[in-house]
Amino acid sequence: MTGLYVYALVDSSLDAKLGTGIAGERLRLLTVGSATAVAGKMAQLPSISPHSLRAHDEIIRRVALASDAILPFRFGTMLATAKDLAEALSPRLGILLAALERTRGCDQMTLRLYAPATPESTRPARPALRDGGGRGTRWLRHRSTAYSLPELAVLREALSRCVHAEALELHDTPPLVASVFHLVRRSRLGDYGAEVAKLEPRLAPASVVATGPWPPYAFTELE
Amino acid sequence: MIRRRPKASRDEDLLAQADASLLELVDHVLNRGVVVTGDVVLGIADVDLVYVRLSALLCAADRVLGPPRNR
Repeated sequence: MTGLYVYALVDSSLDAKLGTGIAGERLRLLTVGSATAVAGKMAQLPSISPHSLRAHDEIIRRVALASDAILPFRFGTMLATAKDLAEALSPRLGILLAALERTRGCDQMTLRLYAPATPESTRPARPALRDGGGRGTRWLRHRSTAYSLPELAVLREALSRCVHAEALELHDTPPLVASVFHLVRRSRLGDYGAEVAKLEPRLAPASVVATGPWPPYAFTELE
Repeated sequence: MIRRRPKASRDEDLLAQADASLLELVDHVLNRGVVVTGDVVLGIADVDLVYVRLSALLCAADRVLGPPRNR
């Protein structure tokens, strides 16, 4: 299936030489309304492999270095023609442009928050069935409880001055309890790293694993 | 698995030097990013099924490798 493999939405001012894509195809800029997409013609979708995933990431990183703002596309996004791409993006182009603008001058840092299993008495209790309300009410209570994880408060208090935006994903797979994605201005990455390095004693017995900087994979939509 | 970034002289170096584990790479590249809905994307829709338990994998890796601070 020949088509356009789409890598990212970028700042229209990007004028660097883009090089080649996963399959060695020449990368080009496509105008989509007031946005610009980076794409390459490909004979077929690349298979999912460590090599192709790394190649996708490396291309996104290369483009990110050449653009002040970038919204990466998920691996494997391929459309038949530029017209199909424009039709797919146009319904939410405004949202995507706002999200693109939010990433300007920023990279993403990812924090995996691990907390050891603790006695129920030391954590906010999960709402029991007898708490009343419907299933939806109980679910919302549970989510509310999760969002009030004390470790998250510690992270936010320590890092807020370095963080431009945050995205949060909670996990029901302890000891991994949350993934926290921070959009950090490139000029503040050093400060951010220094603050993360000081977190360990404040979080104990929980711990945090930081990776990055990443292109803003987790900030591709506005909340 | 904590990535302690080397002190870089330029922001570009920071971005280029990121050394991600495959699991982190999988989560970022396959689980996130702009999603275009359409017939073509359905061709790899099983990706979502493959990685729906990624958080469990991250957790399992942590148990196998020991606490991050000891690595």
